[in-house]
Amino acid sequence: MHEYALSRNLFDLVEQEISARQVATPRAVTVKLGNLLAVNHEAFRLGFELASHGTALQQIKLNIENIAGRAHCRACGESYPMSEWYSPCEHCGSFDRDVLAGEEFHLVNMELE
Amino acid sequence: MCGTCGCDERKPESHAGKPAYVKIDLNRRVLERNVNYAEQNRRALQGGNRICINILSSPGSGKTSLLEKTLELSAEKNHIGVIEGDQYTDNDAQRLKKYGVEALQINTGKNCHLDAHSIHHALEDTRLQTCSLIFVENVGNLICPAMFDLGETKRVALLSVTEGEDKPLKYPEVFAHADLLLISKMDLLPYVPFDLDICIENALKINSCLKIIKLSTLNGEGLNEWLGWLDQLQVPVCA
Ligand SMILES: Nc1nc2c(ncn2[C@@H]2O[C@H](COP(=O)(O)OP(=O)(O)O)[C@@H](O)[C@H]2O)c(=O)[nH]1
Ligand SMILES: [Mg+2]
Ligand SMILES: [Zn+2]
Repeated sequence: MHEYALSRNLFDLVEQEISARQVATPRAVTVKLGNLLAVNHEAFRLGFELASHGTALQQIKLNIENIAGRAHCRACGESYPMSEWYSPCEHCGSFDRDVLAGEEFHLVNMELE
Repeated sequence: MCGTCGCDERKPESHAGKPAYVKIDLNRRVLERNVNYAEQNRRALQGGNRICINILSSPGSGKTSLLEKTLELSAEKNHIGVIEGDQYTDNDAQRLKKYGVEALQINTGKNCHLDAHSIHHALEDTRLQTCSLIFVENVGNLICPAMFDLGETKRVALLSVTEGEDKPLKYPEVFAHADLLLISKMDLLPYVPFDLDICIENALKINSCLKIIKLSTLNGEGLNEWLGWLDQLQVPVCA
């Protein structure tokens, strides 16, 4: 399960931001997570809980913003929702595409009291 | 819930016009550290005219066997190096050292993938300094390694005919970001109900640009094509 490694990366980023900005522990952080990525939200949450357990960061609420997949079809030029990696273009049925969205994985912001 | 800021306070008037918290925009990639190391690796490889191939598959699809065969068939081996990723043991590195090449073993312990940081150190290792073609055998796992860019030149996925033709649909990320798919253990095709055409169709649904080679290390099918694919990567990249 790679989610723990991912949560660990998030934990380190939040810690860096707190110390670089000399601010108190945020009450929440928001992560943008594309739905084409193989990241299980619950495992990622659990990983963050484990990583922050026993530290000042354990009170942080983790908000996950799900980003829907979207692609640009190279065959017909239209764009279309890509709920799965195997979703064809809804206009022409082609799989020839550029992925426009759905692979985001960003720490968007933190909320301070 | 409060409509002003999302806090648990139900009466917006209690805020007296100012929000109870501030939002600080960060917009940093969660895998920033890995992305940075991957970029460094890519630059170092390009600068040294070196090529690095990241090989991904489930355990047992034939990654080490393919490397053994590749080394066996390579007339010139001095320039080849291997980085072996496994959770435990240095068995695979030992298997490859027999062919007279440098093979570094990275044990990831509880981790299920290699990351760009571990590759960064391996590339700096003096034993790999003279190698211009470096194979990375990633930890056998069809999910976890896919998200970790190592800074590799090309990514190769292996899928053996005993694993089922639906795997590209079930574990799409590995296939979505691969440059080449090797369908391995083709010698076993007569013995398993594996629909090769459907497998290829599935893989192309995930990644229509995927190049596909069918091969067997046992009967030699596809090995020339694989060596040819490697050769065309090694065209000198001088400007
Ligand atoms: N029949 C057949 N068996 C193979 C082939 N390639 C590898 N194997 C066998 O598959 C098993 C796993 O191979 P290995 O190279 O260790 O896989 P890895 O875990 O991906 O490195 C071994 O028992 C190999 O002998 C092949 O082309 N045909
Ligand atoms: Mg192996
Ligand atoms: Zn289309």
